[in-house]
Amino acid sequence: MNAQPPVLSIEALAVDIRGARVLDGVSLMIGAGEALGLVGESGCGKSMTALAILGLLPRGATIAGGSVRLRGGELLGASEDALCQVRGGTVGMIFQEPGACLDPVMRIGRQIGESLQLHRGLRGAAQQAELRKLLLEVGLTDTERVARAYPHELSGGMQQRAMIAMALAGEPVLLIADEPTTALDARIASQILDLLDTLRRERGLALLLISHDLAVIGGRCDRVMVMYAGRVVESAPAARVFAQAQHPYTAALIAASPGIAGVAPKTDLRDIPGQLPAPGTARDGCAFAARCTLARPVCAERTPRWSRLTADSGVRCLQYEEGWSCSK
Amino acid sequence: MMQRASVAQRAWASAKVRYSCLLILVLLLLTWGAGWIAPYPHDEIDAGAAFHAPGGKYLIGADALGRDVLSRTLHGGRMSLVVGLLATLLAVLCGVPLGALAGYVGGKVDWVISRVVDLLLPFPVILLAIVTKMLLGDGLVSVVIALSLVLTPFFARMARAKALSVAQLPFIEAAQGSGLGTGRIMLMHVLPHCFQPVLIMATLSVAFAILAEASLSFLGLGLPPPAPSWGGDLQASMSAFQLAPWTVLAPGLAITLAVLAFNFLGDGLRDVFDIGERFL
Amino acid sequence: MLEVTELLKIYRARGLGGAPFAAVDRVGFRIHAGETLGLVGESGCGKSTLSRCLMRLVEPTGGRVVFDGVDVRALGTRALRAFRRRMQIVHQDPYASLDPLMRIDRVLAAPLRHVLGLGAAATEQRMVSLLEEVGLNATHRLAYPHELSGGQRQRVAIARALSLEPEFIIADEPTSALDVSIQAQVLNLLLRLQRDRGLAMLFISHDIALVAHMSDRIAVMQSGRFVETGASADMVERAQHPYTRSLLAARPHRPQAIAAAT
Repeated sequence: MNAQPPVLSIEALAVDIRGARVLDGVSLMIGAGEALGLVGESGCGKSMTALAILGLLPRGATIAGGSVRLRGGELLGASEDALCQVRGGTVGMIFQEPGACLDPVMRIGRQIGESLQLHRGLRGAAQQAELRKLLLEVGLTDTERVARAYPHELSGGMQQRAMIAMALAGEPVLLIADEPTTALDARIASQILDLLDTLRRERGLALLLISHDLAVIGGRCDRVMVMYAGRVVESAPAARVFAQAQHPYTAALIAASPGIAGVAPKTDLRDIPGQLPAPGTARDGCAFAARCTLARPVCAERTPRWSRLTADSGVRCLQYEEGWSCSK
Repeated sequence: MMQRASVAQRAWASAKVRYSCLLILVLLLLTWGAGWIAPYPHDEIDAGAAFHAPGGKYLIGADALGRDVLSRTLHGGRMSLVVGLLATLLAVLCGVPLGALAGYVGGKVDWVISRVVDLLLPFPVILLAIVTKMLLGDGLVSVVIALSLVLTPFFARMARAKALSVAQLPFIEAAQGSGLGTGRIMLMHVLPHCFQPVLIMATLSVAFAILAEASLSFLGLGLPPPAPSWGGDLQASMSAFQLAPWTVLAPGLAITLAVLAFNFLGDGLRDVFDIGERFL
Repeated sequence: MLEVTELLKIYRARGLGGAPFAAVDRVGFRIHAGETLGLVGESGCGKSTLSRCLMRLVEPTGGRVVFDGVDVRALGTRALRAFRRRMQIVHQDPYASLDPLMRIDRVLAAPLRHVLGLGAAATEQRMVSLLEEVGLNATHRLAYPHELSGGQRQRVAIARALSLEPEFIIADEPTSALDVSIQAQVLNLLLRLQRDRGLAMLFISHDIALVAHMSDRIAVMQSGRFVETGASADMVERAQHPYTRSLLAARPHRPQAIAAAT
């Protein structure tokens, strides 16, 4: 753990959409140079968390509690002006579909230039110089061609690199990457993740990596947080999560992923029966109880609270709260 | 997993759609019931009552030949609406299957059909009306055919575009992979997807056809006298506008109402469907 | 069961001044009943085109496709339609592989009634048993596609593919659009169906880990050609070709964990 204060600190964040709770008691901390992986499937609230940080929640969504602090400053309830400074500036964000997030009628150079101008007041020659530097940094070596190109002229991987360059333009201290590689082929995805890794180390960025794919998160993050139905169910250092997952959902996810389940070809993966709960469906008791192989009757009635297992890990499951030992 | 209200329910929820449907219904009832509602037969001449002002025996007045304008307008409406609806129906029945076939099958079939459509497109209504009148003589049939010839290419083009976009989609490939034939795939998959845009275009076409029929009648190319027709009556009464404005206003207003009603319906449907279209 | 030799598909150039290119460049392989061949490659390598060529949804430019002794390319239109029953595709996109305007029962009934010629009662029976076989229940047949989840739609697509009792299934990225926990359900379903029905399968994906898990043998495709083929366990450990190696290296892996430690 860093001795420095964390770059991002979220405590007990709760978000409601039209009265239905979609995020409940989410807490996390990222220090400088650290990578935190946020894992969960559709509707678990991981993207919502990222949007809440930046004040970009959809219409109808309200913050129901908690705090989000960026370098000590509270972001929730901050003025729109202050948030605009943060977005693209102190906090850079990268999305899943780079093609959709880049303006198709604006050349790449101009789009990144806009960001440079807005957040660092760079114009003219200074802007051009910085633009070239950024493009090289993200691995787009043919800077002239890329700067003059329109988004559709670049491949998916190159578009993503351009998005990263745009996010870096504001000299961020925190980078949020929401499913940055889901739309890319495995090899390109691997390169992009490597790039994020390098940037993190060289610039000392804090990185929040969000994905539904546990395998993507696995090798790239220092710590992993698993979300289910709007709550964090497990948090631990990456190596520990894979070697010994504490929460049944995490264990099931690992066993269900062909790449890391470690089963022989053509044998059944351990599948998780049932379906993901729709976001915001109110419930008492553990959200995973209906699908959990280790569930006991009380799991459907009592909502588990966060149990701290070690200094840097915790889990939300009744078996740890109560001290049962459930066989895995 | 949302519950989507059925298309008809959503359509009815739109005020535009509701009111225009109501207006159309009223118009249809009035004109279709002209035989019962109209106080006088449309061709009863009474020279003594020429240009009788509104009031008394004649609710909206009388025209140059002493015919009751109200009765004339109601009967004329029947002609205009029938022509409008028939012409559109014919255009839909001819244009949509051809266009959908062209779009789905492609290749030579598409080439041939598209050339035919291209040929028809530039012909102005008036020219076609003259030609059909020469070939088929005066009367309802020739006007309907002329109008539907004008409308068909638009439906064909639109159906073709829709069929082209649908043909790419995986469920079409799945249907082909199942061994279903072209005809069945077109019936089950392609044509239903054309339904919404066709409906919108059809309502707007009816409006156009009514106006076009009025124009043709105005130019003497439509239904011959003494057949009552909004456009014909308008033309006959033009010179008398100063003397007896009601003879011009009645058919004029009728045309306007009918065209507006159908236009609003099409507009309202377009609003409703455009949101629904995104499901594809 | 399926033998492909020198399969070739050339597309004419797009736009101006481009050269014609071979999407599938003289590819050959064999698949036996009960066996799964995994086809792995990145987007644009031609794997989808290859699968379409096998069913002649796209006409190959050259080569031979022999299925159970029948030369597929030589079939006339009517014979081809009858033949298509034996080979079915499950698509990647569960959202677009079902007609959004059609209720599920009509979707499933279409091949049963119009291709197999079953009567109304027999169709209903088969439909229900198919739904149950893929893990859905009979009430689902009254739903529209947008009322079902991605995993459920994919199951319907599989049910539709099975309705014609095929002997060969092409699974083209069947789980790419699904969440991990649902993905496992669908993959296990495919494996079970293969075991129960003795199907041959061509499993296509860009994810080599997934392909290695689902297949007996793997073929790695790049720019229209097979660069390496072999048994899946062998490939994972002893890949020769640099492209295959790079695909394997890009596989996500457990952090600092060795397989032996777990």
